[in-house]
Parts: sequence; C-alpha cells; structure tokens
Amino acid sequence: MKNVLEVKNLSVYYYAKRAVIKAVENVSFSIGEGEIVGLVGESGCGKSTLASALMRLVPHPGKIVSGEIILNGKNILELSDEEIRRIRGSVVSMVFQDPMTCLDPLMRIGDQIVETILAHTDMSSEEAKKYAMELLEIVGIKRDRYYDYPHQLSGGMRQRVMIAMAVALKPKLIIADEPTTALDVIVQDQIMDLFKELRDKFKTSILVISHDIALILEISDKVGVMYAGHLVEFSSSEELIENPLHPYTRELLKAIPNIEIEDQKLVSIPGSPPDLSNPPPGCLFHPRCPCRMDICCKDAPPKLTINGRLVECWLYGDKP
Amino acid sequence: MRIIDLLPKRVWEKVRDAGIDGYMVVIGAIIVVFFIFIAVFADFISPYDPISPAGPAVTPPSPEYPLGTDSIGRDVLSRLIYGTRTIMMVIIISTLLSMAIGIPLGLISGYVGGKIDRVLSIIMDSIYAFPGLILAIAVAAVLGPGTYNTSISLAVVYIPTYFRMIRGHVLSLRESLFIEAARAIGAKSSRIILKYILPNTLFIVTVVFSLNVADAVLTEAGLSFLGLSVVSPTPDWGFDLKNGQRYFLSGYWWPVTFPGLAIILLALGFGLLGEGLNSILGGGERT
Amino acid sequence: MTSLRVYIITRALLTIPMIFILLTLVFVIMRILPGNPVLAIVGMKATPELIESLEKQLGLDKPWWVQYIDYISNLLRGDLGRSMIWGRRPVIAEIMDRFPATVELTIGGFIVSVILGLVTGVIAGVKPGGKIDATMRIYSIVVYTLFIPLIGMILQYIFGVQLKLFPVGGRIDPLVTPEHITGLYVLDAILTLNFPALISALKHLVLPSFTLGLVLSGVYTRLVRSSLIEVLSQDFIRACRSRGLSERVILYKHALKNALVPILTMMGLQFALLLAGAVLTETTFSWPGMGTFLMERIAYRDFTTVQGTIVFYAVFVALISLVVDVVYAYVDPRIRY
Repeated sequence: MKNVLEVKNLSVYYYAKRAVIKAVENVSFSIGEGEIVGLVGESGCGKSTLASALMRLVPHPGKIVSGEIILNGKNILELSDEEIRRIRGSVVSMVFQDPMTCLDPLMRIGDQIVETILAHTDMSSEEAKKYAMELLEIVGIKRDRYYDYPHQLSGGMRQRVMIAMAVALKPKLIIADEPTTALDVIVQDQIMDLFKELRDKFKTSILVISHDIALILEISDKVGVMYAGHLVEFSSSEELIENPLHPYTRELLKAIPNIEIEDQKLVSIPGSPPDLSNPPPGCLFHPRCPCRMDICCKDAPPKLTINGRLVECWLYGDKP
Repeated sequence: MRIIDLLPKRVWEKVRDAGIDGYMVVIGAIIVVFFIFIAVFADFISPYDPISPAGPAVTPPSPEYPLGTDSIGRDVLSRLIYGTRTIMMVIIISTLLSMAIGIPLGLISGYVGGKIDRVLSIIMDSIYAFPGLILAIAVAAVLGPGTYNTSISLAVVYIPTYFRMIRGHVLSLRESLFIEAARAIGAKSSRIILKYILPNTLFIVTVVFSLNVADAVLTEAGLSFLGLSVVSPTPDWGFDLKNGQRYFLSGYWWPVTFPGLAIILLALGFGLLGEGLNSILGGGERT
Repeated sequence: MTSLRVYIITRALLTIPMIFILLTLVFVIMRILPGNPVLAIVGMKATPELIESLEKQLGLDKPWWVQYIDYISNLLRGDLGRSMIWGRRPVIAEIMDRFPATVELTIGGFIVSVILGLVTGVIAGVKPGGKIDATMRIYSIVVYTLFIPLIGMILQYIFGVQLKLFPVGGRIDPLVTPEHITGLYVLDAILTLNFPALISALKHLVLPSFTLGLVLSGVYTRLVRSSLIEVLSQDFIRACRSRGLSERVILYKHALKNALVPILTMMGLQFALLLAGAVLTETTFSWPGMGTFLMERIAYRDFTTVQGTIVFYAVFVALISLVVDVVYAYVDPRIRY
C-alpha cells in the first residue's frame, strides 16, 4: 500500500519572547491510503501543532524547524507558497475544532463551498453550485439549506458543512482536528459515522486528532500517542488496546471510564505535563511514570520498532 | 534622583518594554511638561509684553522678533508664550468642572443603578452624541466671551465623557472577580481599595484625561477661531490665528502658522501621551 | 414580522427620548443660562418699553414652563420660529437654504476620510506590530490634531494661490450655478447635464473636503486597523487558508467585509465629528453652509435663529445615527434573519 503521508523527524518550535517552546519534537509516522489514523494526547501535547504543520499553517511565532513532510510523494516543506496554496484544500484538507467560528458569518454556506471549489477547479459557477448541493446531501444536509447563513445552522450541521468543504475536491488526506469536541455525544457519533462513510466512498485517508481516547480507538485503524511533543507510541488500534507498550498509553487506557463497571473510581494520571520551554532531562514522562528507571531521568529514550510498532521508551531499549 | 525613580517601578518597566508606545508616552509627556514650563515661567521667557505693540505691524521673523509681529505689531513669540497660559487655564478650569460634575454623577449612576442610572445614562449619551464643538458654540454664544465663560462652554461638552468613564469603571469593578477573590481571602476593605481599585482607576483617569484634553485644546482653539472665546487683547492661539487669516494668503504666513503649530503641538502632546498609555495599559478605553 | 423590522421600530423609538433630551438641553442653554437676549440685541440704551415689547414678542415674559411647552409644541409642528432680526421668513426656511451646502461638504469629507482611513488602516492591520503599523498609528494620532483652519489655509495657499489649481473659497462660480433641484450642486449639475457647473462645483469641493476628510481619517485608520486585526485572528480566516484560498481573496472577500461591519456602528458617532469639523471648514473656506450661517447669526445676536439652528443640528444628528444603525442591521445577516 502506498503511503499518502510520511512524516520524518518533524520538529516544530514556538519562538516566544523569552523562551523556545518545543511543541513537536522529532516525530515520525506514516499514513497509508484509505487508513484512518488517530492521534491522541492531553491538551498541549503538540497534536494540534502537528496538524497545522502538515498543512504548513503553523501560526506565528511557530516555525517548522526540521524534518520532512512527504505528502503524496512530495516534500511539502520544499514547495513554494503558490504550490502549497494549491495543495491546501485539494490534496489535503482540514476540518477544525470549533464549527461556530470557522465559517465566514457574512456569506451563505453554499457560496462558501462553491468558493473552495472554484479556487481549485475550472468548473463554471453553475456546475460548482450543483456540485456543492450534492456535497451537502452527501454529508446529510438538505439541499435548500445552501442559501442559509452559518448562524442559522446548528453546531453539528456547521461541522458537516466544513466536512463537505473538506471533501469537495476529493483530497487524499483529511485532517480532522478535534472534530467533535465542541459537539454533543449524539452528534459526535453521527460525525464519526460520516467519516467512515467518506473513507469508504472516496478512499480518503483521515487523520483524526482528539484528546478523547475512546473516540480514537473506536474509529481508527492506527493510533499514535503523543506526550509533550513526542510521539511515544504508534501502532494499530487492536494491538494498542490489547497490549499497550508505553506506560503513558497504559495510564490513558486505564483512565477511560467503563460504563459497565459499577462504582468505578475515576482514574487520572498524577502530576501534570512538563513545561515545554524548560523540559526535564531524560524522558519527558519520567516524573509521572510508574515504571520509571534510573536511566529515564538522565537520557532521552530511543525510538524503537517492535513488530512494526513504534515506541519511544527505555523499557524496550538496550540499556547502555 | 531621576524623575524615573519617582514613578512606580512597574509602570516604568512597562513603558520601556513597550516599544513604540513607550516612545509615544515619553515624547507626549515631554511636550506637555514643556508647555507647562512655558506657561509657568512666561514672565521670564517672553521677550516682550504680549498685549501692547512691540514693533511695526506684520514684520517677518527676524532676530529682533523671532517669530515676527502680528497685524497690530505685537510680537508673535510673546503672544505665543502667554497664549500658553490662556489655554492652560481654560483647560484646567474646564476639566475640573467636567470632572466635578461628571465623576460624582458617574459614581452614583454606576453604584446605585436602576432608574437613576437609566435616566442619567440616556441624558449623558444624548449629549455625548451631539457634536462637541457645536454644543460649545451654543453655550459660548449665550454666555458671551471671556476666559471663564469659555471654560464653562468646554466643561459642558466633556461632562458626559467623565461620566461614562467613571460609570463604566464602577460597573466593571462591581462585577470584578478579583474583588470577590480579595474579599474571599479576607483582605480588608481599605486594603482592597488601596491596592487594587485605586491604581486601576488612576490609570484609566489619566488615559481619559489626556485624550480629553487633546480634544479640548482643539475645541478651545476652534471656539477662539470662531471668535467666541476670549476678549481681545487676551493672548490666545486660536484668536491670533483668526486675526492673521486675512493676511495669510497674501504671503504673511507667520501670524497664522506659529499659533497653529502651537495648537497642534500641544494637542499632539496630550494625544500621544494618552494613546501611548492606553496601549500600554491594555487598551480598550475610549473617550 | 421579521427581526429586522422589529429592530428598526425599536431603534426608532429609542431616538425619540434622545431628541427630546437634546431639545430640552438647547432650551436650557438658551433660556436659563445667564444673559438677557433682548438686551444683547438692542443694547443698554434701549427704553424699558422697547425691551418689554420685544420680550413679549419673543414670549420671554411668560413663566419658564409655559415657554417650554410652547417651545416643544412648536417644534413638533416643525416650527423653529422666526428670525429676531429679519422676521419675514421662518427660520426653518433659512436653514434649508444653507443645509444642502453643508450636506455636500460633509459627504465630501466623509468620502475622503473613509478612503484615507481604509487605506491606512488596512496597511496597518495586515502586519500589526511592525514599523509600518507604528507609522500608521502615529498618522492617525497626528492627523486628528491638525487644526482644521491651519491646514485649510495652508492648502489654500499652496493649491489655490501658488499653484492656482483650485479656488480658494466659495462653493461654485456664480456664473454657472446649476438649476435648483436638490440644492446639492454636484447632484443638480449631473441631473441637468450641466457640465461647466459640475466642474466648478467639484473644483470648489476638493480643498474643503480634503481638509475635513484628512483630519477625520485618523479615526477610521484606528477603527479599520483594530477591526481588521480582530477579524484576521479569527478561526475562519485560518479555515479559509486551509482551503487554499489566496491571501488576496481572503483579505478582500472575507476579512475586509467582516471588518467593516463593526465600523458601520461607529460611523454614526463619527458623523457628529464631521458636522463639528464642517463648521470650522466652512468658516475657513467661506463655504455658505449651516456653520457659517450659525456664526453669522450669533454675531447678530439673533437668538431665535441660533436656537433653531442648534435644534436642527440635534434632530439631524439623531436621525443620521438612526439611519446608520438601520443600515448596519441590514448589512449584518445575523440581525436580519
């Protein structure tokens, strides 16, 4: 299977007034055709920054410091501004977290979809309009709502509009950054089903980013776990559930409440994420790790591949 | 001991870190202090008496009359210097009057709320919406010329400004979470006022005051230019500008240009000061 | 009933107390403040009988609350009284003679200020925090402190006297005055296809409009800049980028439109500044509008006319701010639907 996306040693730093924040540090993974990959982690772990980087949309004062992002065979970090503009929306597209704020409030939603279509194709306005209405139907919105303004739609519907725009040009990869966080659980389910449908219909790969690990496990083929800017584990979702390798992953899984168990205690991971402008030495997770060893406090753990699974932990490495 | 040492440390640090805003504040302050200095020491600085003619009429700038003489032969520089006093007086008196009425009313309105607040607010908002200069013209027309009358005209225009400022401040303080928090940790009322409310209020008052005075300078000059403010021969920049107008297009530029520049410079000083402070201290305050 | 209609009605109703308050304020200023208007006209040497008869004529002998009721009821009928000095024509008619001139100047100033403000504001807003932004901010502060008479005179000297490009004063060359339809010379000239009149009117309009517009543009610079910065930081702009729209399209099609909406609400307030500035501009350029009219009548101590003119200003300002609010409601679909 060809890889739609290959990320190699990607690092993204924010250059603030008095400090450098290493938001993404040396991350590598890949996404195959038609795969749904989930990226999970606490707030601030760098997953959103990573998502932005994949479209070269890292906001100021962030900078992509090193690494490669190979999308559909091309390293997008080497493309000109015009070339990357053409790729955005057509080869790779993004669905954002908060549908309330992501649509132009002064423009009818249908027209916004058409705008995207016309920016990348040679269609006429009528053709684009027809296509836009079809897209609305595909995502489950009635055609006549083409003429509505964003504030006239519910949150779930606005998200669907965004998905329609994301899918319009049949991209190879859709990045969904916390796509359901701002929505209620029922709508969440619907959106997730929609994603699966789109994957089946258009063969798009989807990168879903969320802090909700249950959601990720349900929908993803492969899962990546991020902590403090590092990709600490990456494997298929079944393998992850059955046998989580990294201690952080284990803690995350433990923290998922199970609706069938009565009198369950809410489990959380003690401590808090490290200060990324002044990280501790060695493994960034070591202050909170139940399996902490001496070497974890001193040296950064190596990146290892075990049975096709990526993990960054001293538990599996050769101690020097 | 430098003047800087007199300022609260945090304020000075903020000014220095603030880049262009810091420059604005400093330059504005220098200009304002400069004019205050001139007004205070006018008797010592001015080369001639501003009221009686010092030389032949409309002579261009020369070593004898550095800025030239006006239509009656009075030294422009001297009139400029003493004019500082006139405008400063008008500004000070009118601001004090505006504050004396606007601030207590704003306090009451914000604190008591209810019907009183609604009535006062709509009255003040209506006045505020009316063009300031025209309101000043109306009052000045009825009162007649004179320095004190002009102060009253200006005062009327700016009462709503101070009213709104204080009212808004009181309202936001009432809701302010940090006051609640301070009470929750057991801070005494007086301590709350001194440590939190007062510095905050002082900053806002300074910003509004500066921006207001900038506007007031221009309004006073406008009134003078229209002939509604001072009685001849009181030295006043706008007044002199008006007198020089008929000679200007014939090429006698100095009786008009120098008073005009003085007006602009003084307004600019207060304006820069106000805008700079406004940006540094968080912005969002509007006159 | 659509929410727009409800909004218009509510807003219109709110204007009424505002006008009422301003009318009362004018009354207070004119009558209750010290100074006997009659004495001011006829001077100290007048006989007591003359003073009395004049006071009767003006209704000044009645108790103040009766005066007030008369005043309000007259105003509600649109009667602004008659001039104390030239009593033939009603004040309202005299004002309407001068009103179009002020309107023309105000529109001219408005256009210039908005254009200058937009350009400088956009330049500043797209790259906040930089040197250019700082320059624009200084521009907005400096420009407002430019004393209108001084700037006007300087422009008159450079462009009128030295370069002889534009006339120095007045509204039009009297020989080519167009036929009176609206009183707005530019409009009338266009409507009657009177080319020489159009040219003359426009030439006379340039310097005063530019003076007024330049000084007031600073206000718009700041508004446009902050509104634009606010809009550009919003999520939907980033979303537009993610869809591959070009920066130019994003700026002009999305950012500016959204940025302009909150500015509309401020335009009502800026209108008051325009009117005030117009008085100074008219005086500087000998422009025959309401401003010069007002000053003229003040000089003659014609208090009835002065009062009527101020009242007119008050009503005019209130109505314009109503119109602006309605336009804003129309433009922002969030209110319309």
